[in-house]
Amino acid sequence: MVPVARKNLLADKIRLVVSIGGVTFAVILILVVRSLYQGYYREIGAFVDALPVDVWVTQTDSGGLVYSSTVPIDTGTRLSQIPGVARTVAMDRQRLRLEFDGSPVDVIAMAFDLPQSAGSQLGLELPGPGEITIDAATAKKADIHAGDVIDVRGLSFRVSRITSAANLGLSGLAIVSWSDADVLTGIPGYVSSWLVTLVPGTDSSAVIAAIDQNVSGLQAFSRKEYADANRSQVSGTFLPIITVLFTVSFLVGSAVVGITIYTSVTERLREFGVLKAIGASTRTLYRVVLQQSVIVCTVGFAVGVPATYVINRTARSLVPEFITLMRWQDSLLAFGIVLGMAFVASMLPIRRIAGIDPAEVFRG
Amino acid sequence: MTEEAQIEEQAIVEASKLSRIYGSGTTLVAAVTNVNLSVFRGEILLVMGPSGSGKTTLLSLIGGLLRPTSGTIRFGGHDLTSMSESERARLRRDNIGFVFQDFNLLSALTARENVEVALNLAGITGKRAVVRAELLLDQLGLSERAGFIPAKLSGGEKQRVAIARALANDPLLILADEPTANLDSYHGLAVVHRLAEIAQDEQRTVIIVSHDERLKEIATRVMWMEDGQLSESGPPTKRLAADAAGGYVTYRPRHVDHHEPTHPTNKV
Repeated sequence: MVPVARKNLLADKIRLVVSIGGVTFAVILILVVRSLYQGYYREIGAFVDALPVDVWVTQTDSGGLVYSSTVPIDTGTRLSQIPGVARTVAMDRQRLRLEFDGSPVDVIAMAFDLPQSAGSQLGLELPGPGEITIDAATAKKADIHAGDVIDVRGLSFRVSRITSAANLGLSGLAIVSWSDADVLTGIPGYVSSWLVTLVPGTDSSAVIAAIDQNVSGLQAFSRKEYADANRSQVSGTFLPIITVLFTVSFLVGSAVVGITIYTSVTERLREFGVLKAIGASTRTLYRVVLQQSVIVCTVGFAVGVPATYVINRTARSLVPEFITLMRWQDSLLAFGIVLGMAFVASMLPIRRIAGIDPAEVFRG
Repeated sequence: MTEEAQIEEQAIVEASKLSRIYGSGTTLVAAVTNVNLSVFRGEILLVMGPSGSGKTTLLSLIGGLLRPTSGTIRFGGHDLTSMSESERARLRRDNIGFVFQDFNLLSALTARENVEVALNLAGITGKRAVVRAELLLDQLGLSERAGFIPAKLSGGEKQRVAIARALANDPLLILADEPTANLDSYHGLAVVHRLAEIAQDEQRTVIIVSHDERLKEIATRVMWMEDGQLSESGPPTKRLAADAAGGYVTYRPRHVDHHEPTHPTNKV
């Protein structure tokens, strides 16, 4: 079969490169936005996912980690009495603006009611009194190194280590010792949350139901539910923006391919007429046009995917909070969008072809 | 008369009271008016006439590219006017070869691919199409030029490629619109010879519209068209002027041999 579509495209290489570039740009835009969304979505729940805690207990309707939550400290005793609960650890947290080298550093600062040496119970290396741990992305962004001194509400804290623990997506993460927890909430007799570990084999949903029933003012979440509660912040904030960006990318890509294919068809209208005259069905001509669009879009996609990887890596090295996750499902989604572009871009040229009068080829 | 002979008697093209009107009201133009015409197998019909006389419209009607305003046109016994667009496209693909004044080759394709495209449309693909296209180009002396795009070919070469494309699907009818108009006299005569051979050797019907007087030499019938009306204009010249110096062979056209054992409508 003579590759008429490919030959038509290759006849004007500059136009072909421009149109492939347009699709590549659209694919990059789609994938970068999507991978950024996925990166943040994963990251914002990763801290909760990573902690070996079965049930998170917070003040009712306080949402995820970024929302304030105050729970009376005596509720810990009542929680420990619920059957199936093996251990409870109090957690304090507060959204804070630290100061380093005269510049503000926004974090969610946390403290856990555990001795420094027992941090491994939560999979963490806890700082000692007067020390603070900062997540790597925040440290890189603010140029903070271990040993530096940071001002926290007028008190000086020495950075004990830079942790590779996930940051919280929309905010940095800092950890101080329990003895310094007052610097966070500063409300005596209250903590932010309880982290509950269950006796192995215990059904977490039964414990959650028992907490909700027996301890008023508290809300219990399984680890997954709490991670999702955090992630809903990302989906709630980003999804409308992403939808707009997807639509813009789709329209830009479709327009670029559409203009290219339309120009290519218009220039060859007479040739399409000749094909019609010598017996090509209208469907055959539509196929040629659609093939042209699909070729441009597929090549644009094939260039766009690796280009996105490179852009994501480069951007992450320059901007630490540029947290991305490329998944094959997103590439598949982008390919589906690209095929949609090819289809949309073919509509106008196809309408033009449908109107060709084959008798025109006899007129010089 | 035997059935075979009856079939042989049947015209390949048969037009009856054929008219085509363009526009309406004050802009109404009757391009073809009340044309009756029968063209038989092996005939070379030359339609001459001044510009704007309706020759090209007549060719478009015969080729199923245009629908008549009134009258009927039959190809191999089948009424073109009652066919759908896709049926007429299939008929053109399988039975009619077109040769255009401006060659009308696909600019992005090589000579061979231009011929192959016509074969592909008829469902012949792959090596079969390549071999057939190369054979046709070879017969037209273009085997060395098969890999060139039209922009790299001379006018004569382009027209020979167009003829090869027209012959690709072994059509019963060749329609040629001013096939020599854009060629110099040498290449024009070469094309004239080739069209004559196509009609004589392969018993195809060729209808040519042209201003080129040289084409009278190969025509079995010449008709005159003026103001949309077609008329017989006397007997055709029986011989192509032999020009030994120019290296052209003498061609003695032949009227339809009704005893040729071929079915004229076997592809329709």
